[in-house]
Amino acid sequence: MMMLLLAAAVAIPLGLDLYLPVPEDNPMSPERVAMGSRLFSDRRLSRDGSVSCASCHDPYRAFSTAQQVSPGVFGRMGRRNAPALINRAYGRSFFWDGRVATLEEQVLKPIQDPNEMDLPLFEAAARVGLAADEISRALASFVRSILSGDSPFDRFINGNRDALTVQQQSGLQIFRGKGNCTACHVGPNFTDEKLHNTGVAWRDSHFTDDGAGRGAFKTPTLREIARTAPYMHDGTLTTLEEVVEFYDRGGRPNPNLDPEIRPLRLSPAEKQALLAFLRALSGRIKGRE
Amino acid sequence: MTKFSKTLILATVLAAALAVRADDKADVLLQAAMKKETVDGDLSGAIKQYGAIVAKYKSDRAVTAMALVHMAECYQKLGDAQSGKLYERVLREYADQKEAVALARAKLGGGAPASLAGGVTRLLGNAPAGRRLGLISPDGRYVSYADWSGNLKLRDLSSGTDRELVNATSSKGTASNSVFSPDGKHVAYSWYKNPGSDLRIIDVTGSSTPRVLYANEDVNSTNPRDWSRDGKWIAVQLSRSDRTRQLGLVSAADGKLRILKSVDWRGSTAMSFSPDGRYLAYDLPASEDSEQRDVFVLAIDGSREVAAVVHPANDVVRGWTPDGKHLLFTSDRTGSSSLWSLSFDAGKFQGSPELARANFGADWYSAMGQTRSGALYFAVLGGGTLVSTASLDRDSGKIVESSIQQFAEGLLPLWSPDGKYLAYKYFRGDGGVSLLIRASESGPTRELRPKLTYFNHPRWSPDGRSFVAHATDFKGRTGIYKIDAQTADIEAIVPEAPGEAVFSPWLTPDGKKIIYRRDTRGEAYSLIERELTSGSERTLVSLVGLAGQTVMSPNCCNSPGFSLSPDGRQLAYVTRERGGNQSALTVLTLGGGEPRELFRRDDPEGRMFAGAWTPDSQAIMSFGNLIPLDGGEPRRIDLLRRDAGGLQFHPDGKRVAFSVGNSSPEQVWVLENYLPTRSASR
Repeated sequence: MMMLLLAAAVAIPLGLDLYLPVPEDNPMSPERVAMGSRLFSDRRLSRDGSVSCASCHDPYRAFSTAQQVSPGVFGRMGRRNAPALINRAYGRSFFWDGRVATLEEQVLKPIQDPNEMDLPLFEAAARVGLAADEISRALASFVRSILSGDSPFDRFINGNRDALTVQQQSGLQIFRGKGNCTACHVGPNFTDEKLHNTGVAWRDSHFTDDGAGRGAFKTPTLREIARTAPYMHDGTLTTLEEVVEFYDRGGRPNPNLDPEIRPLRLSPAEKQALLAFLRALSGRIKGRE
Repeated sequence: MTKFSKTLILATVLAAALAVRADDKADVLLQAAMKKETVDGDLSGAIKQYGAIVAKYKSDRAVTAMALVHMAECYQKLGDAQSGKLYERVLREYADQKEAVALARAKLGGGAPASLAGGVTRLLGNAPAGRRLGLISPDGRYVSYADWSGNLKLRDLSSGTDRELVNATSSKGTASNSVFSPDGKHVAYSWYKNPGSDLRIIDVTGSSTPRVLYANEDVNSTNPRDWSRDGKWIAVQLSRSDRTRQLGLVSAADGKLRILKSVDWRGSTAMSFSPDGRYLAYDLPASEDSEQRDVFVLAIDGSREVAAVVHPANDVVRGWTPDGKHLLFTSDRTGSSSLWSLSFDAGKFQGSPELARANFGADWYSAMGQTRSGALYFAVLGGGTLVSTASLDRDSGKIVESSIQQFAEGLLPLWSPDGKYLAYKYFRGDGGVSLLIRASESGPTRELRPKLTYFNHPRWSPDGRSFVAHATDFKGRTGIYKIDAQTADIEAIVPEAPGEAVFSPWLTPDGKKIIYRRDTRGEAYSLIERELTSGSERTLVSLVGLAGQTVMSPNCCNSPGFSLSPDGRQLAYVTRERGGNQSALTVLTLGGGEPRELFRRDDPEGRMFAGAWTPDSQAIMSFGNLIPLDGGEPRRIDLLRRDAGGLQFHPDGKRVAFSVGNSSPEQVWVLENYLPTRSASR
């Protein structure tokens, strides 16, 4: 029965695992996903009725934002860049600092965050006529249904050798080899779901944001990366070119720099190839339709 | 009730409560010591803790006996003969402790595992000498395997005869893992080409040509792990080009791949379909850094996954009972690898694991899967290699037989530059590999557990503070690594690029450069000198191995392939004409001069390698001969045993270290009727 419901609610795109982790106590159903989709765009979940989840997680930007940090209720500004909500069903921890272990818990946090939606759960429940745990389950189910796959990269590694251009194939080699990108951006979802210090938060000999501690932040997925600028936890790198330059320099040296981060010494042509490959990670996004 | 009787009851209850607390404490301490041994890998620390338990809780015979067994195992891992004495003490003094006695007896006995829970083991015959054993056929008569040349063969266990199914040379590739179809009529096997690999199927009669079932240039290997009973699916583990693994199903009908789950760089060691074909059991590392594994079960439609066995011990899936009501796994939670069962019903696990068979599993056995009746087949490994030292009479070229000491399980012994320590490689029972460092031949031993899944040919740095070795880290990255001799921390020095292999590193005497070998796509062979600080490189030797030309002999077995003299001035390597019958030892003087052939012999099997130099850099071992650099007559060095190899000279030039023996599978055994009666009748 569960499988039938799951199949009806979600179709797994090419390149992703068939096994989609779903909690036993929150099985997916088309109805619940649809309810979550409505709640995702429901501004009543914010104190002043000005923002919804979709305000910061724009479906047409792979559920991310074009702004460095996003305005919440009453124009209050958030601290970190809103991450892309792509393939979070496969996630093992949530938020840039990985402080939450389940989607059911995660989806309620922005509603309560004073800088985001600033609404107590009991009031959110009253406004939409659903219990808080029903809001949680529905939003989590909807986020779980947002899947990105079937990109040129997926078609390439599944046998279509023409799906990537020669330059993109060269970029893939750099991604896996000289670029050492797969030390963290690994597997079908291009993330190890682990915390790493790349030095982004290191400025003037101190961390502007401790992240999960000592300036470490969770590896984000690279799927749909061409649609999710700006980049990094603080949105300070505005283009993919800047990101590649940042890693080519070896991140920003600091006392806690991850040992995997070191100067890459990529040539201009190698950088261009790497960028071309990263742009081949855009596919079809399920959940946006 | 009188006041006296109330007092008596209260005292009795208190005493009982205290006794329970005391037992709990002993158990807790035993668990803590086991954690130190198995999770932390601190064998010396664990020995101290086990010793404290034995001293303090003498009255608790069950805990004490088990602590002694564990302590003995720690000593055994350290290559200390004390282990045997402790096992004997358990047999002598704790005969009432059934499990501990069984474990100790099995350890002392060596061969077949002892019976504990009613299982019956039978010896079926010699195991085929293969590079990769496959799984047993459903009727238990055949085992498929890839031999050392990569040919796919069948061994008929009833007659002991072999039959070749696929010839590696004529088919231009090599076979590896293999499984039988449920009707026993086909074998699916992974096939390595250059480049790439695929999954193939062949009729067991060998009468038809193999059929390529699944091929993908982005996949490094597609290893079949099991075949569903309905014949529809082959469970595979894929190794992707980013080095991660994926667990999937390949349709036996049309080769379509269904990726079930992506996992980390090390993947599963085994996968097993439930008899009804609805579930797939497998093991995975507990975490990215862990060497312990846990067992999971996944519905093959991807609808759900269950964590079946999550425990600090190393747990590895072995199969299912024929009725599908029990999952079978091996675990070292009691100190040695034993077979356990866990009840499974309606997609859920019930209760706690039950011990089905003590002393069964990864320590000494190579799993070969199950037959249709559920019998578990396994190959018992040979006695392993022993590190040995001896005095060498240079005048006669003879090992002084009376001086031979075989003191520890391990291989590739290597003296430190000051001659005070002997380091050697050790394959642990859990599948990992350690570097053991022993102070002289009789001193204490220290274990280094670098976070590497593999390393080979470690070399001491000139200051004795580190090693360099060809290795693969937990993220599957192969290359040349530095290993800290105190902390076991690793550092990549030369990462391997796609299409090339780098290996056999030697540090120059000043410690500023390494010299290593780089092979490119099996066609070009180079010896490279790399300046460690700047990373600048220069090519010392370059050979192109096209047809009819000279190629460099591979590194193999106990030989690193080429050898740098202790004074850093001479480089020795072996060449042979491709397709020829002779090999030649060639020496290159660094800093000037042309390569000079020093020694040539008929060598149709390509067994000549550049061995160890004498400490004065005036002669080199190769092909069982000590060959003077000045062109003098080679002298035969008699190691007394044919299976001795990897000879190294002590810096004093008077002693040698080497390893003897082999770790190839030697016998095939079967375990039947292993479930406890209580469980079986449920």
